[in-house]
Amino acid sequence: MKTAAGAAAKKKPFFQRLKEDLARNKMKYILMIPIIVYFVVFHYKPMYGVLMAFQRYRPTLGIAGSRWVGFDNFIDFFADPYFWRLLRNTFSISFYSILFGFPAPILLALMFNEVKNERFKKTIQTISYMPHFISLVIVCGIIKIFVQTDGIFPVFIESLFGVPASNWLTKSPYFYPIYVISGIWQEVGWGSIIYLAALSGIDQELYEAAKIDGAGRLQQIWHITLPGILPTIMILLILRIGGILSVGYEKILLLYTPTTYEVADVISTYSYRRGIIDADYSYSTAVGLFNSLVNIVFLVTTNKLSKKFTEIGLF
Amino acid sequence: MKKQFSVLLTSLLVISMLGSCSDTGDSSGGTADNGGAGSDVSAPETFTYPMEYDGDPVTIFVNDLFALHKSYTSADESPLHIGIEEHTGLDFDWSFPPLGSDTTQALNLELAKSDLPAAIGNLKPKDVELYIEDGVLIDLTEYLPKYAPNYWAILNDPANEHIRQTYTTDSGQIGLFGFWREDDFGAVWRGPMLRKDILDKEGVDIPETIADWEEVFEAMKRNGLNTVGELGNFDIFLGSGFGAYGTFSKQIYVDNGEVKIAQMQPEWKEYMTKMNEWYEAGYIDPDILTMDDATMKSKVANNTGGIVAGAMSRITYFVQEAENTGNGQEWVGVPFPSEAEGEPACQIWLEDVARGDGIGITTAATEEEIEALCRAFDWFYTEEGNYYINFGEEGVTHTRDADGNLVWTDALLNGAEPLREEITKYATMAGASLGWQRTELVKALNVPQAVDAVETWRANQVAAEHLYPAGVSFTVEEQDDKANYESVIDTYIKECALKFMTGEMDIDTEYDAFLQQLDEIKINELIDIYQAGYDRFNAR
Repeated sequence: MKTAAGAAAKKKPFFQRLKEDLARNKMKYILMIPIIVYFVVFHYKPMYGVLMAFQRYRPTLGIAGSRWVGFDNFIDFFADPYFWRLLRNTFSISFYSILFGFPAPILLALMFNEVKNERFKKTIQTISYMPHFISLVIVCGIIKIFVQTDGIFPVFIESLFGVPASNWLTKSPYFYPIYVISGIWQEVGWGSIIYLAALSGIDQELYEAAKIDGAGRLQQIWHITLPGILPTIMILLILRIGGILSVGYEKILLLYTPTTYEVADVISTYSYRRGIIDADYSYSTAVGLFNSLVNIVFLVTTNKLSKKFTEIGLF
Repeated sequence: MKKQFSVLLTSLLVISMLGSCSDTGDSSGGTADNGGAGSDVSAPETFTYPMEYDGDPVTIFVNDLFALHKSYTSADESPLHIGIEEHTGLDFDWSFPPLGSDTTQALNLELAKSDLPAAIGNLKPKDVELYIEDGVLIDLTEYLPKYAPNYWAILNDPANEHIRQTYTTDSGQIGLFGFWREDDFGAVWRGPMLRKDILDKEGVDIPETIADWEEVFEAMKRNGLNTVGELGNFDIFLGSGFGAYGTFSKQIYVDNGEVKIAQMQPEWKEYMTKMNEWYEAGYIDPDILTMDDATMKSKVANNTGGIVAGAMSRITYFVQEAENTGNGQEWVGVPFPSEAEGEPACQIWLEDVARGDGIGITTAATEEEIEALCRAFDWFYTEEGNYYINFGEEGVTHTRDADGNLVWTDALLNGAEPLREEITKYATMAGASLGWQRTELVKALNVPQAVDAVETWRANQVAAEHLYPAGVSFTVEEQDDKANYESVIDTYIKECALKFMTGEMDIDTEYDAFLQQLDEIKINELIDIYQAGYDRFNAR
């Protein structure tokens, strides 16, 4: 019946249908206006600035007056001696963040779900998402103090294993663990909220049925809870992979040192140094555009794969 | 009725004619007076301020040259800006970058706007040529002799050759009213400092050569102290003891007219070899790689840092801390080491005395506004204007004692903020402004120990001969190439320099590979660009 109605509607011309719909849902359309205006003003209009990527942009001449250079900025970027290092680092940081950072809130949510004492659960939950509200600058300041030579972690490790204390932020092998673990610490509680919401939507009767069938706790999680929140997991994973090149550069900027550039310098930090500090706007726009393109490719690919294997997708 | 009407009409006409006559009479009379007086004697002092200007307020966008103190929301509340308008007689319509914004970005946004203000700053002399070409700024050359005789006279004084070169473009245009320092006192504000009390206790003298320094390091170490400071402040450290001009960041300098990079010289290799030794011996805090100002201060307070690479204001801070807490620390600035005792030290931490900041007049200004702006800006190059912008109004910010020494008023000394901040409500020269920064001001803003430190740092060194001028400008093509080479080179040099120090890269075996890699990432092309710019600068 639905399809029949749809087919019938499709036969009418677009404007005819729009007019009818407008008449029927007038208030809804009025409510939509601010959102449409918001998107046009703040998301679509600024996009003309992307043209800078194909120019030698000079603020005094503006986009209308600057010289067009085609793909020169992109070529400069690809030919940059650091290009491969930047790409490798960006993917590595993203990869480790997803590998360890993505499952963490799911596990935490599952654990919360098993806690039966409501008061205890609420308290722990609140504590766990508190760090999310601490400014990144402060978090990084804390990290710096904790891992410097006389900081708590190096000193602790020294007393346990006799490894001489050193400043961990200056050592390349320590960079990813510091970045990923502190990231998990800060965001795990916050990230678990959405899974908890999904968990509350699971039909409790399923658990009762499983219990009668003799399923243990873990079996219940595996066969009921996880499939129940799988759509949420997949959607979030697709979104996360869609941002694979958009690593949290603010945090890297605050934590890296020249001796860890080798592993920590990513596309966005490099283009920050060159684009913002050296005011080379065209170059950083080109890099940003390249970033977005790669992200879109990943987003679409993951979405396709996800649809194929789990039948869940964004679009 | 008809007659009445015509009488009315005639009288109206007469009145309006009279009115317009007196209008034009006023303004043309005013300019004629001033202009006449000026051409009679052609001496700068003859123009009398405040000027008569009855046009609309003139729009101006400016950053720290006339910064608005953060406690004011607009220039109408700010004593500094009110004073400027009263003294010059010109009403400004001020605008400033939003508080806390990136100033370069704010300036570029302003430049990209379709309606430019009549005057814009801070601009760098290196950009002026292009801004004039792009139709943003006007060339002031023809206006300056007429409307800005004081500034013009300074530029044409042979003693100010360097200032003239800085504010003249390669093609001989002048686009800015500039800023500079009275002498290199204000320009040498960073250097090594250490705890004299430890040296006294250990019986070690103030170090002059590298051998002396090694003794100092050892003495400090015996007391559990090492060297701390923000990484950036190590760019000048002890390199001069080896004849090296830089430390970690790429350092460009001039040697007999030839542009060179410190990191490519054998002296630097020697210096880094020693730095590596010192680092491994624990003389240098391994945390300097991540150290910020607060960490540095806490290390000093916790008695783990006894040597600091830092700015003169740190000495002021340490001295005040010692007074407040009674920790017994005694901080002094120590000279840059030289290669042999008694020889002058080479080092590059001398900021160009003509730092290269200024305000330009844009193509949006009308002829009338150009004249008024030139007149107003020229006031800052008079004795009176320069005094005002340095110290503020006498009686408000300061008084003079019987010997003519400057005494800050209690209002300033006991203000909510430190003196250095309080003064910027009344005068901006503590940072930078139009005209010259007086050495007396810099001295008055710091404790005697800090003033001594600067005197120590600037004595017995030859940095000024080797400084790459701040006013050099590059062509569009050069800028494109420079942008492509420079980030890569800067990153590479800094990364390797630090690894040489920490020992992660072995200076003995890997230095040649370092040079080779520099060559591959086009360091020589970059040097050529700097050289070309420098040669054009000298030809100005």
